[in-house]
Amino acid sequence: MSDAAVLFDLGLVVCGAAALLVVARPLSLPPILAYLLAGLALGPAAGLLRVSGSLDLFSEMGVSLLLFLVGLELSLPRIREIGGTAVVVGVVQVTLTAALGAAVAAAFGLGAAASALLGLVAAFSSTVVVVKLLDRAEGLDRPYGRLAVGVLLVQDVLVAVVLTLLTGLGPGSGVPGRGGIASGLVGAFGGMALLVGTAVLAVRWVLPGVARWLAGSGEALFTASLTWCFGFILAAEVLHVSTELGAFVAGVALAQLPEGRGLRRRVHPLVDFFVAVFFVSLGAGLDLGGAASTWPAALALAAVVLVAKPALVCLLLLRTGHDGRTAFLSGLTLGQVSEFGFVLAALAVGAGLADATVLPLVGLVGLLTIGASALLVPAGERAYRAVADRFPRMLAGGAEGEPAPDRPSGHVVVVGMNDLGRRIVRALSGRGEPVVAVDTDPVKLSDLAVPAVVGDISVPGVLDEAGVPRARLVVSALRIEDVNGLLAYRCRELGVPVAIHAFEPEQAEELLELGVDHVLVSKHEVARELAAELRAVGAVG
Amino acid sequence: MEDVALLLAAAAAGHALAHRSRLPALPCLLVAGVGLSLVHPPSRTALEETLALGTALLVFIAGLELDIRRLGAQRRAAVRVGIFQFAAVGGCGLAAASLLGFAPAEAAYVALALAASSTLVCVRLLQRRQQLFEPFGRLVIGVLLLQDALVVLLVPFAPLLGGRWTDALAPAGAVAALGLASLAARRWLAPLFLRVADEEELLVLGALAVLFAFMGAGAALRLPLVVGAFLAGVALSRFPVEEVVRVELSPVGDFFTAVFFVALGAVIGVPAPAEALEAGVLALVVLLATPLLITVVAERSGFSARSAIEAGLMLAQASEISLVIGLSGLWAGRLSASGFTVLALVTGGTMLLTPFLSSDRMARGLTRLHPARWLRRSAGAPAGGHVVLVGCGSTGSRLADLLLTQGREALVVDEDPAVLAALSETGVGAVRGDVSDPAVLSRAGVDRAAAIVSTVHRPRRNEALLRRVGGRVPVLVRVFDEEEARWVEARGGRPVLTSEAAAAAFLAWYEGAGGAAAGRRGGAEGAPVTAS
Repeated sequence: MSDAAVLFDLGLVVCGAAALLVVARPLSLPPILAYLLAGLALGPAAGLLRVSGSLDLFSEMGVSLLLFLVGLELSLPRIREIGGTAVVVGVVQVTLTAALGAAVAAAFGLGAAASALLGLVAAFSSTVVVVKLLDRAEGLDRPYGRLAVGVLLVQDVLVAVVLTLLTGLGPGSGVPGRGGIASGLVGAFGGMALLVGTAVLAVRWVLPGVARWLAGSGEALFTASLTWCFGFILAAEVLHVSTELGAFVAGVALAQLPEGRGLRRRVHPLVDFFVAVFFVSLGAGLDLGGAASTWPAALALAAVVLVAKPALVCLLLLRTGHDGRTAFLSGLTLGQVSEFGFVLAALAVGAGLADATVLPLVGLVGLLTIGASALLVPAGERAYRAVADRFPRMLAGGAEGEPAPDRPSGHVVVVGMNDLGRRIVRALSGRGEPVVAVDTDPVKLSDLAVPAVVGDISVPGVLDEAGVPRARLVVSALRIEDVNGLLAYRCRELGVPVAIHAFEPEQAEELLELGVDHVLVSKHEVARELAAELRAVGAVG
Repeated sequence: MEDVALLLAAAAAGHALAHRSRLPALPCLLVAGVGLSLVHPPSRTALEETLALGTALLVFIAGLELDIRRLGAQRRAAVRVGIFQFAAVGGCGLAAASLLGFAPAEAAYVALALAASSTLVCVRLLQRRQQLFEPFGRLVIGVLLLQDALVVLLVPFAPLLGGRWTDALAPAGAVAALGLASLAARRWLAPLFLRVADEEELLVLGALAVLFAFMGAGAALRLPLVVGAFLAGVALSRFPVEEVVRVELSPVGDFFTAVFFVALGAVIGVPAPAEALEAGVLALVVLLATPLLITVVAERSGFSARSAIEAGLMLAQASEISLVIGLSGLWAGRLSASGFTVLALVTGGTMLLTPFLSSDRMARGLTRLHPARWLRRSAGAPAGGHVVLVGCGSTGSRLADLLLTQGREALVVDEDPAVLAALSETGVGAVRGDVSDPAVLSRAGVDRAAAIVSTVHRPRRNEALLRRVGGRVPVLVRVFDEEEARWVEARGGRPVLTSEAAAAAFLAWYEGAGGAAAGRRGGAEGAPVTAS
């Protein structure tokens, strides 16, 4: 048998992660925590899993792909929308929290370098945790959600800078003398500038053309994008810049293309897989046995992350003119440690900047704060009301659960812009019905005067974007049976009426069995039309 | 990381090549892999791990497809055609491989590999030509599903060929046990799957956990990796689980299969002339035996001659599964590296030929060569005043029924012997032949007809007919898009647009019952199918 070892290890990781996810879900624990626990169970507890070369590679790919994904979310309009607020809040918050965290760590007798590291760990919040939690709490479209994500993106840029600095200071530059640091910094920033410059030039001259050429073939576009990402990772490695930063820049570049959105949806499941491997391996590598002795420091740092950091964000947002509810909820959302805290710690230990004892400490703080965050964010409104009662003047304002802006509802969704789909769209919108058109090909949607969603309706994200759950009717003109079947099933689950095109008459019965409200058998319709024409020319009575 | 980037870059190049040339992707990816091995060979471990993971995912996804529901009415025909084709082509492959000097066990792997046809290639072509749900498309899909199952489940027995039959008992028991477990899971656990895994992340990891659990069980039972992976797919192959899993897993699958084929190419390297020669012989077996056998059996099962021929041509290639079978043999130490190279060449080569072999032109040419057993010419040319139906598929036959009930004389022009045989029982007159043939038009008496209705798949084939009677006799032509409609109109025909008729029917429903159904959420029970 071929390489059974990698299959065995990966099998353990995947099965462990899935099992813990199933257990964690009713407890509403975030996936990341489930993965860490799975890793703890497989590694230190059971001793089954030893993180080997291939798992390390997969973990590395996981982190890089995650940053690629974060970059993919960073389109220019979004950067503008978040504006200066996020930059100011992000930078000030990171600086102050880092200082506070470092001070607390120093107070517990840790060395200068280790304290500085723990300060940094405390300062950054987790994009993945926050985005996942907001997604579930339907908070991504609300002002506090947008602000929190903005601050996170600023943090991500800062993380990238910190990672670059650490790489510049890394073992390659030898003893961290002043000259070594300086040349390391120059080299690292030079490399960073080169990567960014390449990306900017490519976005302007190369990428749009390539993307348009490959647009017809999803697989080609997908592999080409991943090649672009891994090319940047390799370049970063060569230039002694962090590979994570390379992936991030590659993602930002692709986010500027119209294809970026669809790409994000495709990369996402891949990231889910690799990131799971990353966190389970991380958990398996954690040595919490040593953490028992550090619990007072861990609790103090967790308090900084859970109380001081949110308070700081809240105050800064109030200062910049946001209402109390938005400020409070944004702060609350950001109260956890980032997964990059672990990366930072590992890098710093690898570079000899801190000794290995900080790793269990960071692990413990991460477990505590991410767990607390997962419980607090869904209960944000209740927490706000409880706190706002204490400080009514300071935290006033902001409507509860403001409706998300312009999400369609009560409309008809038409899927598949072939000749039939276009006719239906035109006829319905001509009657003043609100219509949303869906197709995988942006060209077919460009000349329709109705709101359009580009994407495959089988993908849940596209289904949501088209507002299917709130639609008054869904019509599919597609000739793709699998997609029609899945759409019929999902509409029935959502209780939304659905009409579906059966290109061949045999499909009609199956669709009716799936609970479709109306089956459109086009071959029968055309036969009827032909019969009518025969009557018109007098060939039949 | 460097190896991953290289494999991906080669995959992107392969896909771009396939996109540009409109050839199947797999051979292009193999070629990209061979190219990569010349420029900068990736490390041994990277290749082996990619191959192991790619194999697992590829076979798992093949197992997911095994939903009998997809076959529709063609279930029995597909089983009959599939089993016959598998046995016959497998037998021919075994004979050819033995003649070429392969050892018995090695020949068994080769035969299994040749008996499978490619789901990737066929489904892509059927989709592009919008033929997936024509009866012949269903037949092709059914045969493919059956082949995958037979081939994969027979892999454990391939190394035993030429040995004692008692050696087969242990693997047979293991396959049966794991198969039963898989079917039980499909029955009782799969419906629960979506209820537990209602999030993207859990779906991806849950499906992969099922895959690894079955592979683990398979390994414990000493079965090859492919058996566990395939049965894991079968365990989840139940609508709607299978659709949801396929959508969520497709990026992970695309990633690993793309690098899988590149890695395969890199392992093979540039083949030797002798290997190419052997591959040529085996490819001929596939290219000749498959179309012939499938055409004969499919026609016996009630398919039209044209459909049977198209199905045979479509299925005449080796499969991605063939490569996986080859790898299994390689890992088991029963197939030599050279034998594996030969298999890869056969697979890539036959796949490249499929788009040409299965073209409309080729199928039409072969239909003409078909020995007509059902030829029943109408006695003399019709007197006139009749209605000519050109093409008698699901739309044409509805019109034939209408004319029959009205007592009007109808005459069908169709190339397909099986269609004509079915008609001969109803009493509708028929002329066998192509609508572009002037002699056929004369025999059908088009000049004296009251009206002509053409429902041929490609409206432009009516050119000779329209030139002859356009403007004089009403010629109704079914078309699928507006460009075709303009083309027909310019030649004096009366186009009837499928989409227009269907849209009008939809709007009529929408104004009546549909609007009401759309108004109250929950939908209408037992809403009528639109049918005449």
